Amino acid sequence: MDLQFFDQERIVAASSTGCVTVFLHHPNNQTLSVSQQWTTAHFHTGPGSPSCSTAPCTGVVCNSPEIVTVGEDGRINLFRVDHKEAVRTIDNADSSTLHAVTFLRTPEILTVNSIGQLKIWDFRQQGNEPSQILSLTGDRVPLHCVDRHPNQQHVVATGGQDGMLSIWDVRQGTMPVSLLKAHEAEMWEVHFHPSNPDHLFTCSEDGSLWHWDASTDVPEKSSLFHQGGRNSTFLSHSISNQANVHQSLISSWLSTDPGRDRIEITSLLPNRTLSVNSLDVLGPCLVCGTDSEAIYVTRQLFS
Amino acid sequence: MEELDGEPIVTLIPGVDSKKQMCFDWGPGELLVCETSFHKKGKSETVPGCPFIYIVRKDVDVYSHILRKLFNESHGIFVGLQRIEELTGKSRKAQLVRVSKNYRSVIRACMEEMHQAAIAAKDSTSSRQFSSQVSILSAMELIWNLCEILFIEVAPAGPLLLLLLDWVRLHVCEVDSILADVLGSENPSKHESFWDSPGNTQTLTELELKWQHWHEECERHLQDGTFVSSPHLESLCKIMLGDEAALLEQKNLLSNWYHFLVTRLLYSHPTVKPIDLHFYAQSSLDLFLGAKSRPEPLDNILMAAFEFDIHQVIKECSIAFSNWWFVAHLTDLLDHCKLLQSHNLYFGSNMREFLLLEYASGLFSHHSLWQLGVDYFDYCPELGRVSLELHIERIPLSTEQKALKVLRICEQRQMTEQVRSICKILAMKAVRNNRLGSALSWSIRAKDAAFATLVSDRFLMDYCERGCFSDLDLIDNLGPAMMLSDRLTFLGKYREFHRLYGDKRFVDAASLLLSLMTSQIAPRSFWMTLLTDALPLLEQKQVIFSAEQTYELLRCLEDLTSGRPEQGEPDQQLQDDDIEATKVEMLRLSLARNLARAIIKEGSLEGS
Repeated sequence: MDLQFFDQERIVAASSTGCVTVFLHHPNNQTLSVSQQWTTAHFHTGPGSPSCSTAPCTGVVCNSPEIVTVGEDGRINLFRVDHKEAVRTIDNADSSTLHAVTFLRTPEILTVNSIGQLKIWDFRQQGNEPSQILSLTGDRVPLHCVDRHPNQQHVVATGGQDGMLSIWDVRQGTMPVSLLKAHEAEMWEVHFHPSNPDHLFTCSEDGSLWHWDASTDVPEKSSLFHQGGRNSTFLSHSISNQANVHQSLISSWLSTDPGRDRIEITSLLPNRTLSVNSLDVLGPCLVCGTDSEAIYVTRQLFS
Repeated sequence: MEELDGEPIVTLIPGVDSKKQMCFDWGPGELLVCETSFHKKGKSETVPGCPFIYIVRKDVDVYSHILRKLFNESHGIFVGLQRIEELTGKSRKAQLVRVSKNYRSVIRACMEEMHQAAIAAKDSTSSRQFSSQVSILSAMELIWNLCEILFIEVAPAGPLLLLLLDWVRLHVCEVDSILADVLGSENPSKHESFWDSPGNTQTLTELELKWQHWHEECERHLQDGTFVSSPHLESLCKIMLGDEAALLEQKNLLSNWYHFLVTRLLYSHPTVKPIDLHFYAQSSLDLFLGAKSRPEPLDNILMAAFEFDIHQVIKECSIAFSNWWFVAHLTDLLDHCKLLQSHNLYFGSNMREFLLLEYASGLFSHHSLWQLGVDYFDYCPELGRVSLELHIERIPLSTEQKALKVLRICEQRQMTEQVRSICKILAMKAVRNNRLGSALSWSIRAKDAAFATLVSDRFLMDYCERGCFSDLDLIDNLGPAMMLSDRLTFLGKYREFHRLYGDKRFVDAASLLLSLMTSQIAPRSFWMTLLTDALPLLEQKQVIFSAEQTYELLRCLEDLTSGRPEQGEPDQQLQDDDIEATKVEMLRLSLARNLARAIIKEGSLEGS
């Protein structure tokens, strides 16, 4: 259900059978072999569940040599490659399903769950409680994906069941910095571009993949509603004030000045397809997969 | 009952004793079969039988990697076809021809890939399997192409032969070499100039006249003996005149009867009209096959097409092919061309819908292709919705993500019953796995108040047993969902009471506690706990409950104790009663004391 590169040669895969596998890629004959596997990473234990009841592992994130996984059993596992057992397990970290996880700073992770909460966990602390909980008041919409800004470790983007994109600053309060109305259905994945973090990509159940461009270095963009690219519309709604921060330091995602708050949104898939479930982006290449069992690749993202 | 068109195929189930009887049950796409202990001859034996239950599946094509691409791509074309705007006249025809060509290109792409797989296959059985698949796909494309020419493009006499030529050329590679041969011979210029201007710029009669003239010239050459010196050229000339015997002599170069047909037509009747095609087709088939061989299913299908009998084509294809893909899509396209009259089938629905329903139902048994089936059901006006309702509830939901997709499909089509039932199943699973937060999420999505009550009761039970709340993160953040069920509201408010107490906001906590009892949202069984919770508030140094409130509390206590019925068993009951009695005593004492202090406090002057 989730895949991540661990290092140049290894890939970690999270499966709906509750198993976490590390694959080793052999470039000379283009094959994959299983290097390590944790078969019961996620499982249910309840008064009514059968004895060998596995739970899907919904998210995995790597920061060599550590691997963190979360699942539908509400459990967080910290694995280290070449250790047979989990280094740390937080049982019942959440009473609902944990959908995704990302690293904030190295000992801290952030998880999102199906009751609309972001929880920050610090592995240096011993207990089983999160160090911080953030959520939107009002409707508790399940959150499905999360990604951290590559350079600014306090900026996080989440996407939820209603297709809204939220940008959070985890240092400031418990509310998101901005809420952007995006897709018409669940947003399955959100990714900041690793080397161009002013660009964000989201994909959704409604069959679209959007490229959000918040770069502020284009001189002729001066109007608030800039209609450029294909099918671009946007609606931005900022809800918190940040008066005392230098403009040069904050990322364009946190900017709240309406005169400068322009985001250009482009839809990257030409026709409406079935749900786009997953995407990844690196350099000028973008890959995404859809429910019609098709994979789309573009190698000229910024041309 | 209609008679069977063919003998049913017998499938042997391995491991089952043939002397025993089997029992079976139908599933959505398959059959469950197992052995019973009944003997065919009537005696039941106690010999241990086969312990397995078998799943018999007819349509294994959905599991082929390469064919899956066919299903996925054709789904896109199908949906596009349903959604395009209706144009009229020539542009409509061009539109439909484009769609038909799209389908065919998908078949060809699949064929190409299958061919590559056959070459690369490691063992001979899989190589043979791939090759046979290639030939099936090739037959499909052949039939589809012919149907496109005859039914969709509806080529008139003149262009008809050109299209048929292309058709044969596409499917029979050797034709190219023969044509090269023929063209290299005498009169190539006559050939080229003749065919260079297809029917657009000339009328049919002009074409016929020209051809007659050319034909006569050829005959004259033959009769004059111009080619006597070379028998090869002479037979070529005879061929060009359409002499059947001469053509048949070259039988080894013609791979099949329809190749023979088109060649014959090219040289004898190039301006053949569509309605006359079947005469020539029938005679070509007879001449080519001779007396010894019988026509194969493919031949029958092509003959039916030449006879413009669409229903026969579809019927034969349904029998010949192993799954409904081909007939479903072809029939749908022909229906868009308005070619199918409503054909009365036994169960009333029309043929297009019947075939689409069968195809889509087959897709639903696959763990991933079911999503394609949803769109096919959407475009079946009569029975599509009801079929979708039945199928969608039975999809096995192995992960939450799959469940969310299913729920979104149901919600988009206002299938509220299905949403409720699916959410209830998921919530029940969650409760069993002790994921109370998930359970609550599902019951909120389904707006299922009864289940929300169940989950809240679980939480309250947990609290009573352990003395503290589990999953505080959930209860603390219920938000507006709290209004879904009374029990849930109570849970939220009760937790709020605990929070207020923890924050030492005793007056607010006290009034909240009282309102929980007086507003009747607290379940009766919980009242004792609530009253016991009131004890520390009553025992505080300052007076928290006012006199009015204390009277209320007293009333609640009386309500509770008077309502208790007499119970049966003496021993345990006595012990329980003892505890209960002590509690009630303590409460009464505290309440009385509090009442006294409250009255005094309220009676005395403020400000002291």
